[in-house]
Amino acid sequence: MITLYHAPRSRSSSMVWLLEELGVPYRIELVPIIYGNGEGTPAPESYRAIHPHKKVPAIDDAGKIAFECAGIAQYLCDAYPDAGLAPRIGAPERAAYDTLLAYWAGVINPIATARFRGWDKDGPTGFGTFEDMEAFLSAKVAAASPFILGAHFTAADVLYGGAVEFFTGAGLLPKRDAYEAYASRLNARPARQRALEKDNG
Amino acid sequence: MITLYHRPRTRSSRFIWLLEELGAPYELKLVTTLTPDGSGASDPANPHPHGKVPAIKDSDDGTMVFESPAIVLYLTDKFPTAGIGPAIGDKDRGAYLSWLAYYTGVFEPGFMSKFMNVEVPVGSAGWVSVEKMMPFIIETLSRGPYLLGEKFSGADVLFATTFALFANTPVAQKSPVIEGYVKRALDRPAYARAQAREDG
Repeated sequence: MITLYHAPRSRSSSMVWLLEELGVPYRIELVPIIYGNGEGTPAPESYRAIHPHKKVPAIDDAGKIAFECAGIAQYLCDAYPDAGLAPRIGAPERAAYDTLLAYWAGVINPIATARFRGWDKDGPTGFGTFEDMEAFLSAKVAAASPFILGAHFTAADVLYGGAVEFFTGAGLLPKRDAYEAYASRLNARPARQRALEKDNG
Repeated sequence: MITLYHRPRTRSSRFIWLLEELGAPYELKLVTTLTPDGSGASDPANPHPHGKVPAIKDSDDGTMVFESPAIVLYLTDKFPTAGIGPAIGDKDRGAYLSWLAYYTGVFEPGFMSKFMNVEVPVGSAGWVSVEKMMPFIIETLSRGPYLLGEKFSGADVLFATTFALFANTPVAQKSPVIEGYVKRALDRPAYARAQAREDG
């Protein structure tokens, strides 16, 4: 049985969605965290055995621990391949899949945070330029037919759909029809709706 | 055949090391990139969407991969016989994927924040400060020679080269554990072979 360490309305919410898409048995263990607005309480020190910085999400799959959204997504969709949420190793889409997951973690998120904090107001940061990132993201989303890797929904859609919805809502991404259409297409998925109902644990 | 788009003495250098570790058939394609001081220019021959290195092309199906942890994972999955990437189902697979994601999502942004001299916001940033991450990394490397324990992996290619790069900068925090780790990793014969091919 998979345990998801989760805090409502946080980065781990997308992992609830991923697990619902995956259709494997799992349980949610709620973890207290400090939210971006300063609210909340820190997790107990014992939780550091699961996550080194006491953050969410993390998973425990029969004693195997994984953390970081991209790492968890990659782990789960490979370990439980029946749902077809990851191209198999050797499939032609695997290269783009691996790239998209790493780009989400290493480029989209840091650049969005830099913009949110105003770190790039005097010029681009070492994370790269917001304009390069947004051009890449909007082109990928505009070309999604209907999903980011083509005909099949994958874990990349969970991460990119989450990013598009969250960063558009926060005013970091410009309003684009392609973002809106992609987000509403993903929101219509039953697994997404089930995940929203389970977000509080 | 793997084509590595490479510019000497940059972030693409360590992928020569990885390819040497894997014993994979590869060729280097030297490209220019725009540098932080404004010299150089993006190379039209480079398929990377932002004109950066590294990027790889796999001639088996013409696909390309970019972003360092993605290239590591793609290559260690494609060339499993070297045994430096735990396979799907291996007990270390979760840890391996976590370290790769941690590298790009926490480790690099943490050091970049320190270079930029900005405070990492608790709660809203997906990463933590260098001061918070180093005890975790040092503790891990105190338990075994490599991040996954006894076995060297593709994750070590990323972390050891980054620590080596930071060794003489003000952001580095002196640690005998880290120094030992870097020396152990860079003493590997594949690293020396890669150095010899650095210029193409």
